[in-house]
Amino acid sequence: MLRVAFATVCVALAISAATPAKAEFPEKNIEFVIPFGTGGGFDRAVRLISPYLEQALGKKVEVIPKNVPGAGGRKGTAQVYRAKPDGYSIVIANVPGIALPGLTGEKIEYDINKFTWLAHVGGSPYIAGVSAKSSIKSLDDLKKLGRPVKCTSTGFGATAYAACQIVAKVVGFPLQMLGGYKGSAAYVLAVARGDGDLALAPVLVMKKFIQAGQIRGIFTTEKTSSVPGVPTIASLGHKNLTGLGVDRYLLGPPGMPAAVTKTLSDALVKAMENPEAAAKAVKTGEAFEPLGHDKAKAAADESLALYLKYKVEISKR
Amino acid sequence: MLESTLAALQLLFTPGGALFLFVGVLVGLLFGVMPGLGGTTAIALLMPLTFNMESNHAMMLVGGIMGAVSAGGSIAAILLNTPGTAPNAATCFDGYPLAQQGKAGLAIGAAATASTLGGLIGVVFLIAVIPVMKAIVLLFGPPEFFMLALMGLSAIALSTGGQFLRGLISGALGLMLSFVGYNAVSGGVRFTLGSEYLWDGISLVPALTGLFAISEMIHLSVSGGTIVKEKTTGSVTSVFDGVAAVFRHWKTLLQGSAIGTLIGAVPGLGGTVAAFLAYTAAMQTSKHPETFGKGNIEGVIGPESANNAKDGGALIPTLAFGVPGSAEMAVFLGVLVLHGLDPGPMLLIEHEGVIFSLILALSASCIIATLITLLVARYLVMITLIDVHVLVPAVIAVSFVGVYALKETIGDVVLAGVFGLLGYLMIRFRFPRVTMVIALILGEIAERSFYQSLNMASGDWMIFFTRAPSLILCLLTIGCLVFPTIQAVRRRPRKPAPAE
Repeated sequence: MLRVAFATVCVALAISAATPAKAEFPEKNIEFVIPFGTGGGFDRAVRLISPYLEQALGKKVEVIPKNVPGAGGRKGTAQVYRAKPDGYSIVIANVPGIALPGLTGEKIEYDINKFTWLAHVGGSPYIAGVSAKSSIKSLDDLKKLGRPVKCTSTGFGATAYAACQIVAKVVGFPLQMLGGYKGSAAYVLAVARGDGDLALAPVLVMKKFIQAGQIRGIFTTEKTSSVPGVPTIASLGHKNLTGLGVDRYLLGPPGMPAAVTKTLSDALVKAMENPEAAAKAVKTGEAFEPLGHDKAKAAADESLALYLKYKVEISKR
Repeated sequence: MLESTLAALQLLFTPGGALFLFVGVLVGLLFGVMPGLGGTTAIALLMPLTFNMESNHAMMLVGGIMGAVSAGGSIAAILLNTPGTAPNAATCFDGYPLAQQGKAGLAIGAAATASTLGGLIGVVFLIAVIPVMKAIVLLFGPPEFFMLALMGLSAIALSTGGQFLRGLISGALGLMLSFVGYNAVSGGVRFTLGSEYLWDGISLVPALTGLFAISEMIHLSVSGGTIVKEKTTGSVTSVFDGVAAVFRHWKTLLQGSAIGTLIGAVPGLGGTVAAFLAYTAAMQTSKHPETFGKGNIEGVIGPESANNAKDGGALIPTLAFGVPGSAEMAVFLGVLVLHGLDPGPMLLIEHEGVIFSLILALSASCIIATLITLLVARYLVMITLIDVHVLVPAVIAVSFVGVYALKETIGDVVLAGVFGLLGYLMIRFRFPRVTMVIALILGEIAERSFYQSLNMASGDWMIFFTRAPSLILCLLTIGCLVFPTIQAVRRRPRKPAPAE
């Protein structure tokens, strides 16, 4: 009896081991890593895309979002970097966030040029804001302050931290950073409260505080301003700062086979272009701007150029 | 406002609304009882399910969960010294000794009642301050956070349980442990021993599960027998004695609720801090601070009322600015956004109905969860009569699984094990665990807000004394430290030494 059972198990194992080898990608569930906690913009984007990605892949497998928060996103990103490059582990990352530790001279667990760049999800430019009660009314007022401008952020190594340093250098005002806030809404609130003078935050976050009458927008890095009364940075004479912000990309481990990369990247773009998914994304205020694997890396390099240029400034603690 | 409340009430009595609320309460209770799992996990897991639900129904579900989690968590804390959720850890200190004395019914009754009343007070406070809520949120900055943390830390002096030096040593150890990990202010990692896992510091849930649950189970298996040493049963009357105790200690209840609402309203502190500050405050204002840690019912009422009141409070910054006031609120923001409701100042104006559904669900959930708890309390109490040889493996297995399920990281399980051993050694060599836990929880906030305050003032220390709220908190802290001493000195001459 036992021998029969053993034989059956062996045969079953042999069959299960032999069949998938001939099948095409995907043949098992895909783990979609979010290197941040639940509830944020990254989490939302992944959870929104996942069901449509399943659909685009022909509903053969499940796409399972997994939060691996830690060390400002580096933990989850490093985990996927080290994973087997078979297309079953992918991660959402932000540019410039993923490149910053390397640029500022920290020892880092991955090489951003070696990742398999699958797709671009969307981006968010910044709005610079001061407290509505502040005497600062314009970019020129910042320069005339006569003391370092106190700028709030989550801390060294964060994207807004680097962006503040670049803005200060390009516009030309002395800067003092206040760090340690948990998230963009918290450091904008800190400016409304009077902890600091200035904050740079994604348009979506800043808009709320402007609507609530707590924050005055000084400039936006958008191409055309989406908040009435807030001028674009280009119109203030700093065209090179247009587009300064955070962009989301989807990455796989280094060395993924070309066929798998193409299948996955096409499915991701198809998922984001699905009218239902796109409509939901617009509803959250962060519309998808899908780009495939052929264009994603180039787009990332373009936005990183500015950070490379001001490498010295963003490495200041 | 009245219209929205009535509409929300109507929804509550429709089959759909009532069903989702009830499901939310049950899920909340269950996730609350399980160590490691809490409200954040429950809401995050159910989030995809709310995709295709009506917004109002989603609010019923989420409100049901948020209101019930802490009631569930307190049951495990009292009966097994296992905090069901991190904020329930403060309930262990006095809830579990009561269970050991065979008074588990009393503790559960008090915890459940304090939870409900605390939750309701939080909601009332929320509705009352809606017009001025922006001003309240803006009142508290880093210098105030530092003073609040200092106030909590000063309670270490009172919590040493007669072992002053040992208490200070564990407190210092807790502070040191709280500094492990990524330094948010200046960047860079500290004291991680080269381990990637420790980048985010000592995770609270596994550490607390180890310190309380695992260490107690080791202790129990060494001593044998059952949790209750003398043979008593949880009767219905003892549960209702607990209910009555809350009304007898109404000052502790109000104080705990006020602390909970306030800490909830301040973004960046959270439920665990609220519960511990309420616990230390209950101790500092109690007539019998020396009985804390040995089964004082006030030590259950304080943290449990704060624990539920914080939900109402946490809605304040969420509604005013879209800044989450607690971990649950952060996930809840995600739910709102999925439903196309933009969290922030416009929410209350554009979607008043949805918000009132949530507020009502939160209140109803507190009541339902408490009724369920009170009904089943007498059966639950029997856990304390189970032989430890059966109980210990079960509790250890459930604790480790819960800790693992939270983030699916094996490091968390190892951490819980290490803290379990540490906790057992502390019991064995009479080092108080409460001082270590207070320091572990408040250390990070104290350090960060201290840094931020000095940065804000360009290095001027006077910032802690020139801002009114900060100065008031500072004076309160000094008062809390000095008052018991003065009282002790004043009492002495009245009582002549007994002639022996």
